[in-house]
Amino acid sequence: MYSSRKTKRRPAGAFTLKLIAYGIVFAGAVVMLLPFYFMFVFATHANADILSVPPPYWFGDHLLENLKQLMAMRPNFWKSIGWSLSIAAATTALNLFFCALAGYAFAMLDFRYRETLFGLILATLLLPSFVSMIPTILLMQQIGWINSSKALIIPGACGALGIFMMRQYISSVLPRDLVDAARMDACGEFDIFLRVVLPLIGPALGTLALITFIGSYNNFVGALLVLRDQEVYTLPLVLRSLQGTNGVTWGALSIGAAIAVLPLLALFVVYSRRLIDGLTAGAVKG
Amino acid sequence: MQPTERNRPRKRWLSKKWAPYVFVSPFFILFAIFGLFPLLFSVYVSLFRWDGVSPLSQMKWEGFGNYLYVLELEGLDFRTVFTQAFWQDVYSRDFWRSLYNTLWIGVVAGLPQHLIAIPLAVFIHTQFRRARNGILAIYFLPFITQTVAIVLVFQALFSAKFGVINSLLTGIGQWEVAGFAPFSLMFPTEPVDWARPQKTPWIVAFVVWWRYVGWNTVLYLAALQTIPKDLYEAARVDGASPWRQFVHITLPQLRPMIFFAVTLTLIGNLQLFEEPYVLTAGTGGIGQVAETSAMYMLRVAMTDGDFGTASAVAWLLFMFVALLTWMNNRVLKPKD
Amino acid sequence: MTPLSLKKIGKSYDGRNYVIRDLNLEIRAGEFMVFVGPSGCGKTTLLRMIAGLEEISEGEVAFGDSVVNELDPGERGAAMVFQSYALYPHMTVAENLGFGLKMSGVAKAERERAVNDVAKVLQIDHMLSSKPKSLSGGQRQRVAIGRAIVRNPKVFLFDEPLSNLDAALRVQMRIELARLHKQLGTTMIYVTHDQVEAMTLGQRIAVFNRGRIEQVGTPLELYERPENRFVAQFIGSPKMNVLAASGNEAGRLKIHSAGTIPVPIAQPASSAIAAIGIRPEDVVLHEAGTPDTLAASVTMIEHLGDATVLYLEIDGADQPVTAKLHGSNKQYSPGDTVGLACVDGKMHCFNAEGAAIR
Ligand SMILES: Nc1ncnc2c1ncn2[C@@H]1O[C@H](COP(=O)(O)OP(=O)(O)OP(=O)(O)O)[C@@H](O)[C@H]1O
Ligand SMILES: [Mg+2]
Repeated sequence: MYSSRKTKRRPAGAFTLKLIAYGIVFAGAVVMLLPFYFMFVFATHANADILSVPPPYWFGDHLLENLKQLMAMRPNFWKSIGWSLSIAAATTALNLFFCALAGYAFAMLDFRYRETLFGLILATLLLPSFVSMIPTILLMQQIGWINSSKALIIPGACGALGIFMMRQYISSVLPRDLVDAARMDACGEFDIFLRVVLPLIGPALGTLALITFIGSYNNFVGALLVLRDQEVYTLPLVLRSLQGTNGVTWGALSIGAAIAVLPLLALFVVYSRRLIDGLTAGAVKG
Repeated sequence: MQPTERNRPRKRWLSKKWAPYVFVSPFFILFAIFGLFPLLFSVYVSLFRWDGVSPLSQMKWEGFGNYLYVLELEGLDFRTVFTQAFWQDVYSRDFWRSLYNTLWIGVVAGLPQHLIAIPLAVFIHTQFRRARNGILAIYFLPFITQTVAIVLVFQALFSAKFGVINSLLTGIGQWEVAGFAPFSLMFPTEPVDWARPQKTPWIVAFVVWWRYVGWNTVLYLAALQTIPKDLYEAARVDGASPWRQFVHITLPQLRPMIFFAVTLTLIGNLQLFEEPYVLTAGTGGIGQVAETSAMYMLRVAMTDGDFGTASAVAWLLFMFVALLTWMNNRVLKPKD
Repeated sequence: MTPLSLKKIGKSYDGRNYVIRDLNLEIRAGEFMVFVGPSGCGKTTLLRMIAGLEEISEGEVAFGDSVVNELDPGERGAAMVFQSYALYPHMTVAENLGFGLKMSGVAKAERERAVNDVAKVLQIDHMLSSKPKSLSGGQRQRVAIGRAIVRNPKVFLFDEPLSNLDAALRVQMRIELARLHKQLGTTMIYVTHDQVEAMTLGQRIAVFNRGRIEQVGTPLELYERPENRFVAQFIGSPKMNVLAASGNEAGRLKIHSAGTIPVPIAQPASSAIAAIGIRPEDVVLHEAGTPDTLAASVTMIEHLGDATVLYLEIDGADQPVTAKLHGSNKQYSPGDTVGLACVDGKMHCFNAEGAAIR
């Protein structure tokens, strides 16, 4: 017996079209990945190899020399990674706490002007970042936070996007009765947040942590505005300072870039699905 | 049952009435100090001549002088608006050149993002099952990568003498089958000198495209997933071809997301800074061919030490962004 | 055992429209009081005001002698069982039960003893270390009730606690709740949609309508002597037939164009009669044309086994009349014409405002 579906033939044209489309998708994927590939390849080659024609397409054996050169040029390279990571960690921790707290209030508590205040928070998302660049420099100069990590951590400790995300998540998963039950159980308002709400929003906290951490770790412009001394440079600034410096080889630059990219690359390999879903959830609903 | 002895409950430090306000206050406190106050202050500064470091008493009143200085309209011969000379004159003025550069890069990088992301998303949505997450992650990777790091790599790739990109492009261009080079028209057969100033905006646009095309694909994919399946089933029953389904169902259903994504691109590209800044090592390139408005603003503040004028640039730019966003709202926003 | 007194209670969410207005109610110590009423009439709102979850816009709520308006929910000594159970998903059953005590500062040892006691009473002691997710609906319900009991409250508040359970479990839990009330003797307030629950559980029932209490009384009082049309039709299933009455000439009432019947109550009150009410179970059917009956024709018959429900059309009335006959009755078929009357002394009379006249 032949089912009618099996015997129905596809037009040959559709098949070739499909093949071409697959080809384009994979070619695109290659374009997306090639820079990363060459970053790692160059990190293992001496300058002479990289500058030869054609350039190297496969890994070499110059990795350690490149690393040594990088360390010689920028002795504070490792420190700047630690610096970047700790600034990102602090920003993330603060954001998780403050955004969850505010998101919880907007999702679960009744108060006057709730919608207005929430609207204001969303409206700040529309402010283009460049209008605050000059004012931020001025403010940080006035209060003496130039060259201080505070200037990077504190202003971004409670992001509008994070509040939005937390509100969406909390209002979709937490029943209001739960909060009321806790109130009946003599739980204070802050205790409710700490003991009942926080333990139940783990997934959203995880996604927000990813997003904030990545944003903070990659933050170049903010650091450029307020960090002036090499001593306190974060990773992007250190890398940027290597650019055009006499005697820096492409190999050393590449290994620096590779090391800078690796932590997030690792994070992304594990959590890409979650990160992508988290970032788009707000866009689809909002 | 034994009655349990009840201790006196602790006095609440946070009443139910005030708790919500306390809970949402961190954002507003931070925004007031680090957002609103500096913004208002910069409006004030934009009316003065000030270097940003000397005491406030040294500020010199300029009125709208800073704005006029930025706009640099004097000497323009408006009777010759339709001549090339007029526009060359406009282009030679810093603010206008930076604005032109911003728009140019914005369009050249932005438009293809969406033209590619939409069909790409539709294709991934309909064709990929198991490989889908992997493909998506690959396209998304550039979005979460540190700009400085990856831009340094791009610089190496684009080098004229030894660049990988030149090798690849000429490789494809010179590729022959039976004495015939099928791609020689589309691809270069000689190495391209990417260091020439005319090429710089193209490189910037390419890198920007590379970084954000995946982000847009992901946005469109998310929107595609919300389109009800029965719409397509009904269309198939009516015998509509895939192309007609795309035009009559997919595109109209995607419209809200197109609006949202294009708005994001618009706002994002108008404040473009990182990619051109790092690609040109902070200089804007030879003849400032790739200096965007945000870079220009920062140059005025940091290099010239003229914070009044820089603030004026910021607000002129802000008005420009607001205008474009408004126009975008009028043209693209789905009516409901 | 604590009595509750609600005085001139008013509630408005927006400051203009009142959800509850000028409501007075005394609940006796140890009483099982049931709130019933149509959806949206303010039962939950009142219960939440008693609990302290909702601000009291006007009036006073007193537990015993002390006004509790200003007290936090945890300080009032009331415990609530929610329709959704509202168990903390991240805590074990034991932690769920003990959470309130913990937050009130009860020492750990004492807490554990109280939790174990309650778990034994409710037969949930074997699942103290499981999470709510792994429990069945009925078990969750028990935990929710246990969480209320363990705090040894002055008042129990239940908001439709059984509506998420299937029919069989509902009956079982109903019986258990009645037993629990007898055992604890605590004042209980119970909100429900379900008449059977109300009639079987309630020592007294308060019937709500649009933010007001229409009548408070024992189940039988409400059934036999409803004070108005609303209560009369709300209590009882199928609901009471109400027919417009006019004429009242020479001691007879004209019911639409279906005929006349003698005025069932004494003059002079009878002159105000605008409608009569007959419960379906009080309908008596005679042969068509019998004097003092109303001409009706059978339109539909439902056989329920233990009872037979007839729908009858009366000349001039737009609503059908429902009759509930005992046993399985095969005597009638659609199209039959009959004479409709009411069991002696069971007819209810209402004036034009809907108030009962006796
Ligand atoms: N938070 C609120 N804000 C505004 N109005 C509300 C709010 N909660 C309830 N209401 C209104 O108050 C009225 C009474 O609601 P309530 O929940 O007390 O009714 P109910 O008798 O419990 O109904 P049900 O039987 O459906 O549970 C309704 O009209 C409802 O719309
Ligand atoms: Mg209710």
